[in-house]
Amino acid sequence: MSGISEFLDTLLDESVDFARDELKEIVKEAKNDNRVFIKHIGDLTEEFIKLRALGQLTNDEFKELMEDVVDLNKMQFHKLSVQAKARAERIANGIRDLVIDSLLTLI
Amino acid sequence: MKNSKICISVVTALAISGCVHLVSYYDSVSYKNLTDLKGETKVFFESCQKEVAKGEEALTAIDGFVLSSAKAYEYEKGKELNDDTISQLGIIEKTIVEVKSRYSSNIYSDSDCKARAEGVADDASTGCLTTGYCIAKWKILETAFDIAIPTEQSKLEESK
Repeated sequence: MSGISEFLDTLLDESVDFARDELKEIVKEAKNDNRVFIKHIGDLTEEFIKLRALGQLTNDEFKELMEDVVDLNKMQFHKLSVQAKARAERIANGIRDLVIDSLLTLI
Repeated sequence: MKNSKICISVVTALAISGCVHLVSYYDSVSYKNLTDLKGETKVFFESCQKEVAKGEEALTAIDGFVLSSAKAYEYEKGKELNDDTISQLGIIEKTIVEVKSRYSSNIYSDSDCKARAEGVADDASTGCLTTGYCIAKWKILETAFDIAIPTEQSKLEESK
């Protein structure tokens, strides 16, 4: 087994009505993303489907882990939020120090 | 009237001269809490990826990092302008508590670790974690720490 198609074939009967093409497309899109974090999320999703297909995870464990993946996305959002705030803070304080406190006293 | 004008002037002057704060300062205690917790969990999960985690030693280790993550979360809650980090630590704590719950909901018997039968109460003293679960859960936790640690690093140093 090497790819998500094979893992899904192992887990699902052909006759089962499941949007397997949509799932494959989402994982493929994530894995090909040039942002490291998005690519990593795609890799984790494929890895966990593989572990479930190999019988190394139960359905309950698989569900817990995929919910954890969603939580990782939330954590990344908070990381970007802190970085944006720190950047805005640096710029605001730079304007205060250099323009309001310094430049304006010289011109 | 005169007093209120003075007050407004003082507040305005302080607002203009004061620093803008949008996020809490970088905190070496927060950074250490996260890196220590990552180290504790790493040692445990490296071991249980090779062999089923079971017995008193495994349970003590899990209880140890459940306690450490609860302390780290409570520490963050005490700081202002810290909502993003509090949310991150909340997710890490929840993820670690899940490990304890999983351990309790499994049972080790006949050299095998499996989920307890439906209707059987959870019992940490006879619990276990499978190697497959440890492989996957460590990937989650490692990623979570690798998000939270750089988040703390990205905060600005307090102006001296």
